[in-house]
Amino acid sequence: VKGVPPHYTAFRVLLAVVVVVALAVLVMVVAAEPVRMVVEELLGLRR
Amino acid sequence: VPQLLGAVAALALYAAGCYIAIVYLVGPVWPYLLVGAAGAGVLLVAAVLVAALLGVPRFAADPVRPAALADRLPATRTRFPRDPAWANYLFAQSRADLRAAAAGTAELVGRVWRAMVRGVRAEPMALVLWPVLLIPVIAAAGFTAAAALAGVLLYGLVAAVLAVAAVGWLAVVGALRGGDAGVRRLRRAKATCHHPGCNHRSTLPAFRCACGRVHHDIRPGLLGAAVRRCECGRLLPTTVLGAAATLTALCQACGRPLRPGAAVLTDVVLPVFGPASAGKTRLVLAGMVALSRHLGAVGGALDPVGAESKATFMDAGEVARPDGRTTKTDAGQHPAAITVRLALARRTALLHLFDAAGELYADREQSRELRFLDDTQGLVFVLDPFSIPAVADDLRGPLPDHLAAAQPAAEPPEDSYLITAQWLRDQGADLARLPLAVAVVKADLLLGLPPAAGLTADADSADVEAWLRAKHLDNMVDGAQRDFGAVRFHLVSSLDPGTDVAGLVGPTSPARPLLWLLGRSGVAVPEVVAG
Repeated sequence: VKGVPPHYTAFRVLLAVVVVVALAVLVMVVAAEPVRMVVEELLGLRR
Repeated sequence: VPQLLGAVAALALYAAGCYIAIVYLVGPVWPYLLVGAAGAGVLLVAAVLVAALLGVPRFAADPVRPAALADRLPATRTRFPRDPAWANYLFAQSRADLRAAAAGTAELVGRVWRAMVRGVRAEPMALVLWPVLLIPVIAAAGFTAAAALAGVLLYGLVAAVLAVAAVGWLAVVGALRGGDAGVRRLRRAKATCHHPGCNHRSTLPAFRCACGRVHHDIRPGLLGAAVRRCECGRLLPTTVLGAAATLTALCQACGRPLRPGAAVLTDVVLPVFGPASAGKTRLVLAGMVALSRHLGAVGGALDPVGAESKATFMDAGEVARPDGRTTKTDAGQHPAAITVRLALARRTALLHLFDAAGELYADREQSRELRFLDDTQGLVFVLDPFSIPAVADDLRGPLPDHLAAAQPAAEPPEDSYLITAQWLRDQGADLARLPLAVAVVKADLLLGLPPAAGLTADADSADVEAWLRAKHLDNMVDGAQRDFGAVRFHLVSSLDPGTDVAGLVGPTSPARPLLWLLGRSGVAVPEVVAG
C-alpha cells in the first residue's frame, strides 16, 4: 500500500519467520519418540 | 402382533447395524482422523497468520493510517490530537494484523461447521446414518480444538515477540527522550515566542514538516524512536535537538514561526520595566551595542536574529550616540522582543529583551498584556534619578534647567516598582528566585550635580543603594530586596555604549545590568580579555 512505512514489512517478515520456525519446532516435538508414545497411548493405537 | 414383531426386528437390525458401523468403521478410523484433523487445524492457523503478515489480500489487514491513530493509540497528554505521522508497527498495525488473521481463521473454521449443518438440513434423512456422520463430526471437532490450541500458542508467541520488541523500543525511546531533554535542560533551553501579543514560552515547540503539516510533539514515542514518518511520507527527526536543525519551529500558542535555535539554545528573557520616559528604550539599545562590542572584545559575538531585531540593531547604532534621539515607545502596541544570539567560547544563547512602553506598567489592567513577565530569568528596573522627589526638589530651585534637560519620568520610581512587583506576585511569579538589576540611568546628567554628592562613576552596588536610601527610597529598596532573590544596583549612562577602545564595557556602561543578569542565567560573559 502506498505510503506505508517500510519497517512494517520488516516486522511482518520477522513475525512470519517466527511463526514458521515455531511450527517446525512443534512438528519436531510431536514427532519425537516420547511424545509420540504418549499420544499413541492416549489414542489407543498401542496394543 | 406380527407388525409389532416386525418393528422390533427392524429396530434390532438398525441397532445392530449402528453397532457394527461404530465398532468396525468409526472405531478403527477415529484416532487417525483426529490426528489428521488436528494437524490440519494447526496448519490452518499458521498458514492464515503467515498469509495475513505477508499481505495476502484476502487475509491482510488494512493499513492503520495516521488519521485513524486517535482511536488506536492512547490519548495524548497535550491539548493537541495525535500528530499526522505513521505509528510504529508495534503499537497499532501489529494488533490490526493479528486481529485480521484471527478473524480469517475463525471464518474458515466456521465455514467447515456451516457446511456440515447445511448438508444435514438439505438431507435430514441422513441423520439415520448417524454413526457414519460421527466421522466428519469427530474430524471437525479435532480440527477446531487443534486450531484453538494452536491459535493460543502461536498468537501468544507472536504477542510475546511483539511485547519484547516493544519493551526494547520503549527503552530506546526513553534513552533518546531523556538525552534530548537532559541536554536542553543543561543548556537551560526554551522556546520563546517573540511575536507581539503572544510571548508564549515552552520547552517543546511545534515543528512544521516541509509538506505543511504541524507536529506538536516531535519527541521520541509511539510515532517513532529515532525518526518518524510524516503522513506525507517524509522522514523527520524525533528529538527536539534534531528537529530544530532541519525544521521550522512554531509557537505552540499562536502557531507562528519561532527564532532559529529556539528550544535548543540557552534562552534568556530579560524584560526592562519602569515608568514612561525613564529611559528604558535607550538603555536597551545602547546596552545592546555595548554588549556587542564587549563580546567582540572578549572573543565572542552578538548577532541580531530575525528581520525586526536586525532593523532594531541597525537603529541602535545610530541611537547610541551622544546626539542620538530615542523614539518614544508606542504604548498602543504589544511589545515585540529584540532577540540577539550570543556566541561565547562554551555557550551559545538567545537573549530576548522586552522593552514595553512605560504606560503599560502604570496600571494593573494594562500590565495583563505583558505576558513575557510570566517566565523570565531576571528583570531590569530602570530608575530615573531625576524623577526621585528628593532629587527633583533639590534641583527645582537652583538648577531648573538641568532638571528640564533630563526630561524626568512623570511617575515616581517607587510607584512604578510597586505596581509591577505586585502584579508579578498576583500572577504567581516566584520573585524569590529571580534577580533584579536596578539601573539608575542618566548618570551622565546626574554626576557632578549637588544631589549626586558622594556618588562617582565607579560607584558599586552598595554605593548606589546607599545613595538611593539617602534620597528616601528606603521603602522601595527594602521592598526590592525582600521581593527578589538577588538585587544589584547599577549607575548607568545610556548616552553612549560606554566601552573603551578595546570594546570592553566601562563602569557606567548600559551593558552592566545585562551582563550581571546574563551571568545569573548561566551565560557568564568574561569582563576582561582572557589571557
